[in-house]
Amino acid sequence: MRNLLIAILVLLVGAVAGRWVLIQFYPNFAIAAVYYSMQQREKTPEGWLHVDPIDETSRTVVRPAYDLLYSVCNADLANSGYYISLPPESDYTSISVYNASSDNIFSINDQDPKWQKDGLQLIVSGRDQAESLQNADPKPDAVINTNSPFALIIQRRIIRDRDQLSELEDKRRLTRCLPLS
Amino acid sequence: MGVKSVMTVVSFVAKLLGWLLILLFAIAGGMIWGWTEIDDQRPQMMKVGAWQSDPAIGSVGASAKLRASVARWGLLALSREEAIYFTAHEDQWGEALREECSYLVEGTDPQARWWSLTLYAEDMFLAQNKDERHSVSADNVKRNFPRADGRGSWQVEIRGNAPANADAADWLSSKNAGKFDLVLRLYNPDPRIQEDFSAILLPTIKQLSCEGMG
Repeated sequence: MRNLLIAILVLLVGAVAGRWVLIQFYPNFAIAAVYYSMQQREKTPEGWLHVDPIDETSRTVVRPAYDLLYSVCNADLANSGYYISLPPESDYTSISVYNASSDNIFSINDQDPKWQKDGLQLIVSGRDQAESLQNADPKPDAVINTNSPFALIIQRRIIRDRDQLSELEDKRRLTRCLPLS
Repeated sequence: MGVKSVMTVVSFVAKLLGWLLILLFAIAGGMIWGWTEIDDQRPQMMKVGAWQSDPAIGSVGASAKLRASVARWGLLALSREEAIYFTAHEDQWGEALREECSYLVEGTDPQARWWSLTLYAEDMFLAQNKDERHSVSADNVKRNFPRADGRGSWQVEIRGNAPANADAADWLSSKNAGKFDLVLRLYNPDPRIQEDFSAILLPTIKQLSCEGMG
């Protein structure tokens, strides 16, 4: 009888623990899978992986937006922060930063007054790096502390007309996302 | 060491392994339980007509279950200050959207800088049908009564085969999509609707007909 009660208790505790671990850490597994799959792919000298326009063969991230052009920067923040720079943009462009828990911890778009005027300079930092990077030269518009060993930085642009993709391609090649050291 | 001692150790190890097996079985069961919860496309989200969303999508403040669900169904979603997402799995009458049926989606431009409406197949990716009719957006939807500000009402048909005037009509292809869903994205939403999703002008989804149903 005692063994049966213990078995039921072990089953209950194990099941609750298993459920908790899966729900708590699934976002980390999911984003890590994307991060490491992107890591294998070739980047431009400017540090971005410029993803091809989305079509029905795109199978990396669920529910990709057909009308957006994506660029991804895999930031390995274990040893240094990343410096991101973009010129002023004339149409919807956004930069968003995701930490290792898949949270969208920062977003900014082309309507930001500073970005419109002078372009955008950001630093994305890992654990315990943010304070020392506040005074980086050139001074960034913002230092984003991910508190993570890695981050995914996503650039999105609206494709208003698929016939004008080459213009968008040219624009995204003017952007940078590179390690500080 | 005597035979009795060896037997005691073996018995202890066997018992320990037994408990360990029970624990592993329970953990695996718990993980399956958790997976069925995040695999449910309808977590505790708010519903407006046929559409569902949650203001906490993409934010650090989201509950663990919502974060897991977003990671499963919409990884790399933006927070509501940048974009708001609505998903529809059903029509206005609660019937699952499926490729055997045709639908009429009617709406007006929502209060946002830009929007798009995209059809995703059962596997959560664009339907593989070579029709190139996956999405309409604020840029290319044809408005019935365009207003001076460019906004207005629009209609989009969803169907498994091309309409007679395929080039002229606004339609999305559900061919090979199985039980599909629609995602409405609003980029740079008006600050007022960021606070109150129920104030968003959302499209209606009406079933027109189904194969074999006349």
